[in-house]
Amino acid sequence: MTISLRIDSLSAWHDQFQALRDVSLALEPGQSLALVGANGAGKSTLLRLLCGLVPNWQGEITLDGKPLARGNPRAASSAGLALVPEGRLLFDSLTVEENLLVGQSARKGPWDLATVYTLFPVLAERRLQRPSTLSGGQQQMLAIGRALSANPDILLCDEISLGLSPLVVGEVYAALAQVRAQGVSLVIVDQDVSRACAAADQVVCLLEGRVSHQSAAQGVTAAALKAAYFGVATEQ
Amino acid sequence: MMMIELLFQGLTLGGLYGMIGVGLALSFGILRVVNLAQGELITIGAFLAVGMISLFPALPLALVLAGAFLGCAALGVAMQALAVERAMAFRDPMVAMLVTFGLAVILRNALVESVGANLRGLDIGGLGQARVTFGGLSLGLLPLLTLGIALLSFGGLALLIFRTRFGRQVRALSDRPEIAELMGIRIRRVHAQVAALSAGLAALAGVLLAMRASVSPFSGVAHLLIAFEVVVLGGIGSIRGALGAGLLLGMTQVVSARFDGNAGLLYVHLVFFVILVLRAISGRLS
Amino acid sequence: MIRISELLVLAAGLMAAILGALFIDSGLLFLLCEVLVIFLLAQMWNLLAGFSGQMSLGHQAFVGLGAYTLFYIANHTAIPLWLVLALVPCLIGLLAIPLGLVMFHLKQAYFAVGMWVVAEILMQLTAKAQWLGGTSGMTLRPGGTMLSGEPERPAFAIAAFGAVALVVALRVFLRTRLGLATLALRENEAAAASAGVDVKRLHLILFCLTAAGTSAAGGLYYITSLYITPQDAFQINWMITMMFVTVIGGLGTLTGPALGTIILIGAREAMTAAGYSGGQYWIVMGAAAVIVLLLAPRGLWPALAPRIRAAFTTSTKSKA
Repeated sequence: MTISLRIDSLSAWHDQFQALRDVSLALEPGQSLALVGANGAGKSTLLRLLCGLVPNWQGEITLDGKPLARGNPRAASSAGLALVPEGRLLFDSLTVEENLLVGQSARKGPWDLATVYTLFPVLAERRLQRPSTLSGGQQQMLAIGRALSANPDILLCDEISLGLSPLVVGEVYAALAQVRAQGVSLVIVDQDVSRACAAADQVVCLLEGRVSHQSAAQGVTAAALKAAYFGVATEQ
Repeated sequence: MMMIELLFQGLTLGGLYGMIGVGLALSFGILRVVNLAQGELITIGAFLAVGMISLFPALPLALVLAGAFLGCAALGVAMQALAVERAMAFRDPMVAMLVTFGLAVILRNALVESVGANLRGLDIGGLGQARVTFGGLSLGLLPLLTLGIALLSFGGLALLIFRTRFGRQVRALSDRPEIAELMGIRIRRVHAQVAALSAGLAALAGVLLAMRASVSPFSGVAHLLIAFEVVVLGGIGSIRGALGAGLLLGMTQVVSARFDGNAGLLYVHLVFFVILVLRAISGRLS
Repeated sequence: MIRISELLVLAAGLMAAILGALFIDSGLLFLLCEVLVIFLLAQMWNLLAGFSGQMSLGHQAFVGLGAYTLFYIANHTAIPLWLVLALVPCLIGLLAIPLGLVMFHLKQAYFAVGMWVVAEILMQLTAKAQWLGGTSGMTLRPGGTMLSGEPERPAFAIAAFGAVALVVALRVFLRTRLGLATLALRENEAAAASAGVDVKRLHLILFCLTAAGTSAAGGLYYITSLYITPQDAFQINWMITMMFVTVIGGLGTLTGPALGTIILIGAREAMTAAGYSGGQYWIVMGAAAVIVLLLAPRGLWPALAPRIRAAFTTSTKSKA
């Protein structure tokens, strides 16, 4: 059930503004990627583009060799991509359980209500509550659970630890490790570079829409990426 | 005794007003477009029923309601798919409202051209006069039936919205259209389904109206304004709110008609306007 | 400031208005009066909806208010009729201030339909007011006597000059500080506000101005018809006409409503002559409005003008 993702010379625009310039990267089946960079570097654009939410792009994107449809969220979803969006963006007119149900798709896989509740037992306790009554960490778990319900091959996590306490961030990453163990590829966008790298095989850093660094993720820290991150020379 | 009678009349008319408003509340809540053709859909529902009864006088009421519902639902889907959906793509939300205004003019005049400008009522035989007695209290069967159908419709709608997969999709779409699309929800299809449901509810309200009083092809404007008032007072997209606001306005109409027989909907509009002004002054309007 | 060319246009408009009033056949004058009134009404609605972005679906309220105020003052005082016509927009403009202050709490669709409810309330209150003739309405009898002569002649002169003067005034207005603020408002309300435009005040000024203008045009129309009822003066057809003319011609442009008026009245006269009914005419106009909205949401003139200009410049170039 794992698939590969290949992006070749990808450029993307928001109206007149070019958000991505000639980005290329590859993700082997089951591999995970930490996507880092400063604010406005194009990380969110890349994730949203993969999900079909950014229609204006050039280049080539293939999933297991099949080209990705342009600007079509439904096609991206059935091709195996799911997004945990920045700010969670839960459906507040729906209960916790309904949020999970609405995330389900026609794709087969291990994730259903029972397995999501096993991963996040707290969601089972609060299954009839509205998302707005949950804590920030619980909301993030629900957002991950909702995305997993579609049984994706690649889970795209945008600003996964934004606004969460360190303790809760630990819990979220522990859950992501379990997800990864199930064979789901992760693409993690996080301000906390070391944490994201610890959860990934590969790290890609974006700077003003370009790839400024690309390497194995093991042991990479914010200090090591300083130049690629901010675009300034680290040598004095 | 007179008080109880008055209360009962207000209750049934209120249920009817709620029915008139709930379709608009639904489409406004989900599609974010005030469908100014809603009044015409109500009127067309009434005339569909009149037509069915004159062709098949023995047709049971349930079938008349079903026929009017389906007829208007089809019309609602056609309007949504051919015009409103396209208009919703423009950045200015008023374009879609103006399109529905144009559609309302088309429907109103098409109705005049096809059935004439006369008032029509629904021939319901002896049902209009029939009464039932509950513990010494004599109530008209027709208003009771109206109230029953209205409450059933409200209950059915609530079940549909809060207990089914379709309802989940509708609420998700209303909350966050973009994320809903990520979840694989077919936005245009849900829009069309909501338009159909809203138009179908309008038709049911129209049939109930025609059983109680005559309608003309020009009744649409009055129906639209009642629907709008119900939505504003009850809250956008709120089913329970629509019922509550309908009851308030229905009660207003019944009580005011007792003191001033030929005022039309004047007092209903005035009550609405006063509440609006009060809310405006107290800053409870966004 | 006003330009020489605009003064010349004003003078020419005045001449045309007087000559037309003197020499055109009475039947045609009635039609022309109606055309001009519709143009004035549409231009008013356009100023509010197209420039200020406040879409009202209740401007027929001001047609009725203007006409009834005119009839009542003219019938019950010795003030000359044409002076009353000048007084009416001032009164209705002032009346619009408190109304605007309340209604502006409503936004967009709420404002639009809320205004419609206001128009319905006014219609039904008028129908109940016995001192205004109730449902059977009023006849115009300035100072208690029937209007003598041919009111359509001065009415045409006023309407024709009024239409020319309005367009010139709007052009001049759009060059002033307030006018530039209005244009900024049309483009982007939030940006206009951050650029120091008092959006609320500007909305209110435009609301009152359009209320005044609409009431004057309404008064003028009912002078030529001499008779008024609540069902007629407050009818939704005024609103439909204003909206269709503006939407088809071009929202937020000065030329659009003129084009729209020509299209609407031209189609009406042609369809009536060909034996089509009023209902059929409105179906066609409704379809036209919907199609224009879907294909060119800002109307025909903004969609066509660049092409016309391009065609014009290429043809003059090829001649030279």
